[in-house]
Formats: sequence, structure tokens, C-alpha cells
Amino acid sequence: MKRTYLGEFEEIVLLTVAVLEGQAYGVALTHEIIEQTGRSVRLNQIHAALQRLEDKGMVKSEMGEPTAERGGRRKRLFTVTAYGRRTLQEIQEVRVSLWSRLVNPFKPVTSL
Amino acid sequence: MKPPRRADRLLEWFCTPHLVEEIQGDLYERFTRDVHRLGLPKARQRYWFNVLRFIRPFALKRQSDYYSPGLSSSNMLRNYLKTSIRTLTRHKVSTLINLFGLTLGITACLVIYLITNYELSYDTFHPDSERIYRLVGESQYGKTGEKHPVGFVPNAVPKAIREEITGLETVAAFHNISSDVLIPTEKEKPKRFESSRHSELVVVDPQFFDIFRYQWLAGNPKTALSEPFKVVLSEQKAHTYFGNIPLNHILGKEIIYEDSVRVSVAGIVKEWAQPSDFGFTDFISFATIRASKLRQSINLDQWTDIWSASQAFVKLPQGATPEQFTAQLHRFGKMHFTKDMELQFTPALQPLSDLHFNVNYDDNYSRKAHLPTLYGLMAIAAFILLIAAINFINLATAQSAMRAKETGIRKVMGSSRANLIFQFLSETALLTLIAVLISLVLVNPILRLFQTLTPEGLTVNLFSWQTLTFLLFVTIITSLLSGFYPSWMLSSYVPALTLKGQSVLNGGEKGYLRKGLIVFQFTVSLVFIIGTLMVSRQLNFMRHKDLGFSTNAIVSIRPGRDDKGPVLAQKIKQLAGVERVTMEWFPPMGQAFMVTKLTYRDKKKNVEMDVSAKIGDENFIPLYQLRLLAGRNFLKSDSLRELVINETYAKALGFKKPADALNKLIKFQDNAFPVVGVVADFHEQSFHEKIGPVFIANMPQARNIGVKLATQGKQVGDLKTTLASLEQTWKSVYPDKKFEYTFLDDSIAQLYEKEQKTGQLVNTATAIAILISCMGLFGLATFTAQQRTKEIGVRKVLGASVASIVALLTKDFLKLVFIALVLASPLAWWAMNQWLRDFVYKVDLDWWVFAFAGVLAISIALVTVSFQSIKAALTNPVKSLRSE
Repeated sequence: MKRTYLGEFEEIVLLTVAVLEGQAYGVALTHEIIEQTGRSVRLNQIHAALQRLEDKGMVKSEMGEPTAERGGRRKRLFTVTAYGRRTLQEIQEVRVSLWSRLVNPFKPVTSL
Repeated sequence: MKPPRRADRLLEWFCTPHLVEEIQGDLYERFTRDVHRLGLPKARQRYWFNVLRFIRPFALKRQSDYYSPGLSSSNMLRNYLKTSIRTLTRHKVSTLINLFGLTLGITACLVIYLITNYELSYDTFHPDSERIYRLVGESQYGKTGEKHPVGFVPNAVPKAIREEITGLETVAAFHNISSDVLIPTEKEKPKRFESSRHSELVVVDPQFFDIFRYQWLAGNPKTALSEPFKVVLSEQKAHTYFGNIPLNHILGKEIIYEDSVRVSVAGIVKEWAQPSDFGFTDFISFATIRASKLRQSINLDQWTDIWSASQAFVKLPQGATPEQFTAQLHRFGKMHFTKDMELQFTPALQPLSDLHFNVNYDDNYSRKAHLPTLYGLMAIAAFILLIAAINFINLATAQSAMRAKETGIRKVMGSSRANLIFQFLSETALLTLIAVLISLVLVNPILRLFQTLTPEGLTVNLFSWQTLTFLLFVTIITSLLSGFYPSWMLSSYVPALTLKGQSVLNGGEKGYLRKGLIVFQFTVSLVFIIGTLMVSRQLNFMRHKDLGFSTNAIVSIRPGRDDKGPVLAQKIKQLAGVERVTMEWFPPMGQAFMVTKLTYRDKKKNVEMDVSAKIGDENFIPLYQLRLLAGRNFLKSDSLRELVINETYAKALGFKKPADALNKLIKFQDNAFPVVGVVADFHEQSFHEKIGPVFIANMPQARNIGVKLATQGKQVGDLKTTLASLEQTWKSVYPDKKFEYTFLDDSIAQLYEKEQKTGQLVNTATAIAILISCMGLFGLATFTAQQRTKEIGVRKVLGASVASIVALLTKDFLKLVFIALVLASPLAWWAMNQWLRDFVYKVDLDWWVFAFAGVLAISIALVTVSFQSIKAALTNPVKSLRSE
């Protein structure tokens, strides 16, 4: 099966877009990802990733209402496309099937 | 609490437009949060970093995705050229108007450039010319005399300066002389060359050649002039004297100056090719003066008198400034010209670059150029070119609607704005280039036509790199000036609108710019018109005002210094057709005049003042028809016995009535002479000068001859025969000399040569300015009429009369000309006031001159515009409304 390659960071961004359900835009995404993953993410990286995802057709965007906190500028709100959803599902399926085939699944390390 | 503006700008500059808003929004949100958390400075810093982080491929502006050829690709250039030629040929009228205007403008520029460049390049080519200075000074006769700047020094000064002033590199003196030149030949009679102008023969210090470098063709530059009785010739002069023999054979040959000063040729130099005031051709060695009879006319030890022939130049050492020497020269003057001496003189230094322009420092050889006139000329050239450029802008913007479709299509096909601007500019450049080529052809004939206005010796090299650079510069400036605004405007059209056929006029919809430019054009033209009127009025005034004496049919003859003058006068008196003859010094009015000191003493006071002397015999007053107010003419005598004075002098002496001055004694050079008559004031100098005190008397200086020819009932042919018989008489007295004469009217007219030239110049400039402005107006009127064809048709159908339509079309333009008149009047008033200030006797700046200029301009505009309006108003509405 041939599908568009999705990088690890892109996958996280795409998932977060899905999580935020229509409220996904640059700053919100950055905050969410920092909170959830604890890694340091910069705005420009998010924008670049969103750009790539849009090019690949996995997200679509529309301009929102202008708000005062943005100096009267509009947000670009991203939503996941059907194609994006399917891609995420496929990735999920691949992972699940790989996990299920793991003979000796990793156990969380507890203190012995 | 704003994010850094510059960072925002940077972002807007590099970021692709569809991302700018969201990125900026995000950054702003971030910034607000950062301000809360970290404070303003830190937040701003972060903002910057964040902006910079967006310099990444995905966010950068991309070149258009279409294939767009660069500005200068050869395909596009060919296309531009092709479309340019097509548009130019399609709009023939406007092309011709533009071409005509630009050609006139550029030709005017080129001619004026050639003239000013020539004048400004005088003596700039000498090596170290910035270190060469002329010794000049300030002279004062007696204690009460006026101080005058003089361009020359007392004969003894150069040598003393060389010895006493420290720190000068070189000092070189020379004297201008004028003399016939004799070349001894094998036959008994030597070849004679008539005395040349003052500006060719000089007696020079050998150091002259250290200051001014010549290329030596023969002889030794070191020793050539170190001994007496040597001469160095210029190459051409050497050939004139000795024919075309090799230069080496000319060395050692003999030349005789002043009939007995025999010198031998010791060197030959090449003439300078560049313009220079130093057109000397015979350089006689300075040592010759003391060794020959030249010492009689050039007294090298003379401190007390000063002659314009006595010149000296110095060269300062490297790095020295003339100011360093001011104090030394001042001391020098104080030391050598003591209080009890007749002449006070303070030397000073005049830069070589000033020599050609400063009329205060006069001399015998340099031709002075008038700097303000040159600057005026440059301004005129600039204005004419500007008017031509304005025509172009007006016509191009007026027609822009027609080209809106073309612009739209080009944009749709992927042309960028820069491409379009480049295209329209190349069209202008093509037109300008054609104009430049035409004016290159025109320059020479035009220079020949205006020969009287161009400086003497003007040589034109059209293809020198300087001229070509200038032309290139003019081409670029003109193209940009006239092409930039139209192309900017045309390229700004939004294709979606223009292609839909909507009106594209925006912003300047009402054509304010166009109207403003027309007002400007006509303001310039009107200033020129008023200038022409005033200059010609003043010239007329000077020509026709009563001078206080008669100038009609009076011929001046100058026999020279010997004593055969009276014999000649006697013979002339007997000729038929001669009414009266006077022995005189100079006619009442002219360039030459002499001022001397007269003293009048009565019981109360002592009046001493400078009085101008008019010297002639008893025929002087009747010949020039000077009006006697009181008393009588002086009686015939051989020497000074009686005086006649003018009214001004009588008044200055305190006499209320002219008759009161009669029989009073006035002291002149230790003797007192009675006043026997008072004449009405007459002009003795140009109208720039006030009439001052004058006395008329007979003195031995009266060696020239004034002849009044009989004019009663005579034809022009008779005048010629009289002149011919005058010449015969001259030949009988002076068989060797050429007969020369001047008519008094001519020599008076010569006083106003500068004004005549100004007049001609202003006339020409006016003609050109009016012509170009009118052509522009004509083009614009044509265009408006075309654009409003439909409107006119509808109006006519609804019953408008032809007159009302003509009025409708003309009114707008006339309003503009009227505004221009309002603007031009104060400007012209100021300018003319400035010009008239130089005259003591002048015409008034009457209001009717302005009114007349206005009427003139309005009628010219009316004729120009109405031609088109009437044509438009007369068209049959059926024709204009038939097709949609």
C-alpha cells in the first residue's frame, strides 16, 4: 500500500489538529503540543508543518474572525480532511498490528 | 505595547502574502503573552527572533509560478521596440507634437550646453591651474579719489614682489604691446604686418613659460628668453611671418617691432588647442625693454602710474592658499605707496579661474563672459526641456485610457508591473533618442544662425566624450522625467476593471495633475512673454530717447598720434557732402571717457570734484547740436582758454540758474578758466550710468576727427560717394594706413551689445516656450474633442448651438491660462525689476505690459484650442452617434 509519508512531528501536529476540533491554529497548537509532549516547539516549526500537511491535503484551513488579542488579525483555523483522518487511522492500524505481534510486550518497569 | 515595527515590516517584505496575516496574528498573540511573562524588552527581542525564524522556504515569497521573462531579455526588448514603433506610428499627431517638443528642448539644451561648457572651460587645462593667480589690486588716485579694483599693476611692482614677498613659487610679468611688425627680406623693402590686436604681442619674463606650459617645437625653453632681443613665436605666427619653411630654419631670423626694435627668433611653441584668454603669439624677451627704445613706453621703475598693459602672474607653491599672502601684500602696498604719493595701490591675488568672468579686473586681452547670463541660459534650457517633458506627460496620460486594454491583456498574460513600466519607458526612450539624433543634426546650422549670440571662437566637437556623456545624461533624464509618471499610472490599472471596459480614470480623474502641468507651462511662457516685452521696451527706450545731442550721420575718424590730423581735417572740410568737421578727442557719448579734477572757489566754499572732460574745438558743440542754455560756445583757440559746462555741473556748484555760472572761474591744473556757456545735460555713457558733471573745452588731446555728413535731400547712394571721397582724402594724407571709420550711431549701439544679446535670447526662448506649450495644448484639445465626440453629438441633437459647444470646450483651457497669468505676473515683475535695476534711465513696469501679455497668451491659447473645438462642434451628430 502506497501512501504519503508522514513524519513523526507532522503526525503529532495532525493528531493535535484533530484533538482541538476546529479550534486549531498556530499558537493554540504550539501550546497544546508543548503541554502534551513536553518538548520545546517553536511557532515557525508548527507553521511549516501545517503548510506541508496542507500541501499533502491532510488538513484544510479557513480564516476565522479577527480578534483583538491578535491585533485585529484573523486566525487560520485548521481541520483534518477525510484523507488526513484515513492516514491517521492507517498509521494507528499499522502500529496496533505491530504491537499485537510483539511476543514479549514491554512492561512498565516497576521497582523490584 | 506594540511589537517592533521594523520586524513586522521585514516579515511583510519577505513573507508570501497569503501567510502574512496568520503569522503576524500568531506572533502578536505570542508577543502579548511574552510581555506579561517576561516584560516588554524581552518580548520584543523574542518577537524579532520569531520573525527571523520564519525565514524558511515555505514562508518566503515566491517568484511568480508562470514563466516570466526578465526585464532585459532580448525577446521582450524586441517586443517592446515593436510595440513602441507601432504606437508611435498609430498616434501620429501626438508623436509629432512630442517629437517636435523634445527635439526643440534637447536642441536648446545642447546648444546652451556647448556654449556654457565652452565658456566655463576657459583656461582650465593648464597644469596646476588652481595654483596660478594674477596680481591685481586696488588703486586710488589722491587722498580723496575713489578706490577702484584694477586687473593690472604698476610697472615696478612685479619685480619688487618677486624680491620681497616670500613663499611665492614663481612670479612672471608681461606687457601687452601693439605695433606693426616688419620682416626684413632680401629685397630692399621689408614685409609689413599691420598692427594686430592688443592681444597678440607681449613682452614676457622668461618665467612666463614656467607658469604657463607650452609645447616647444624648436629652440631651448630654458634659455630662449634669457637675453635681450629674442622672441618666441607661436607655430602659426611663425608660418605667417616666414611662410612654410621648416621650423628649425626660422630660428635666428629677424623681426622688427616698433620700427626699430630688432629681435631674433629663439623658439617656437605650439598654440594651445583648448579655449584660453591668452592668445599671445609673439613673446619678446623682457630684457629687451631696458636695452631698446621700448623703455620709453614701458618704464619699469614707475610706481606712480598704472597701465592695463602691465600684467603679472604668480604661481603659489603646493598647498599654499592665497589668504596666506594677504597680510604680506597689504604691508607691501603700505610700504611702497606712501601717503604723499599720487597713487595708492594694494596688490591682491586673483585666481586664474576668475579671469574669464570678473569684469572688475579689466585688462587688454581677456574676453569676459557674464556668469549670470550663463546661469540664466542654463535655467532657460532646463525650463524648455521641462515644458517639452510636460507635453509628453500630458498627452500620454490623456491617452492612457486607450492603452488600458493593452495593459490589461499584458497583465493577464503575466507581465509584472516592472515589466510594464519598463515597456512604457522604453517607448519614451525611443522617442527621446530620435529627438537627440535630430538635434545632433540641427546643432551646427543653429549655431551658425545665432552666431552673433555665441561667444567668439566657439568650436564645437559634437562627438567628444563630454558631449556624448551629456547627451546620454539628457536622454536618460528626459526619458525618466517624461516617461515615469505615465508608465507608473498605466501600469497601475487593475486588469479586471479595464478589460471589463470600466472607466479607468482614478485619483487624478479630474486631471488635476494635467491641469497643473498646463498651468506650469503657461506660467513659464508668460514669464518669457513679459520678459520679451520689457526687454524690447527698454531697448527701444534706449534707442529712441533724446540723448541730448545729435547722432545722425556723424562719422568718427581716428588718424593716430602724429600731427597730420589737422591737415586731414582741413582737407575733409572742403569735400562736398560734408557739413561740418570738428577736431575732438572722443564723441560726446561712447566707451571712452576721461574724468579729471576741477576746483571752483567762491567766497564761502571750495568745491573740488571729478568732472568728465569732453574735448573738442569750437565746432564740437554745433556739430553735435548740444543745446546751450546760457552763454555762448567757446571761441576758436589753439589751447585751453574757456570752458563750457553742463547743467548738472552748474547745479553741483550751487548755481540755481545756469546763467549764474557764467564768467565764474574754475581751476584746472593750476590755472583758472572762465565758464562761458552752459549746455543742457546729455548722455555721455550708457543708460546704466547717471549723467554726471561735464565740461567741454579745447585741449591739445583733440586729435581725432568728427565729421557731420550733409543729409538734407540726399540719398543713401550719396552717402557712399561721400565716404569714398573721405577715403581718397585719407589716402592722400596717409598712403600707408588703412582708412577706418565708425558711425556714431553704431558705436553708441555697441554700448548696449549685452542688452541686445539678452533681447535676442529672450525672444528666442519665448518663441520656443510658446511654441512647445501651444503644441501641447493643441494635442490635448484634439484629444478632449475626440473623447467628447459623443457628448457633443448628444448636445447638438438636444439643440446646443455651435458657439455654446466651442465655448464649452475652450472655457476649461482658458481658465488654466488665466491662472497661469496670475502666477506669472509677480514672478515676471520680480525678474524684470531685477534686470532693470542695472539701468539708471529705464522704462516703468506698467501694468498694461502684464495685461497685454495675458491677452496675448489667452489669444494664442484660444486660437490653438478653438481650431479643434470648432472642428468638433461642426461635426454632424449623425456621424458621431451612428455607431456604438
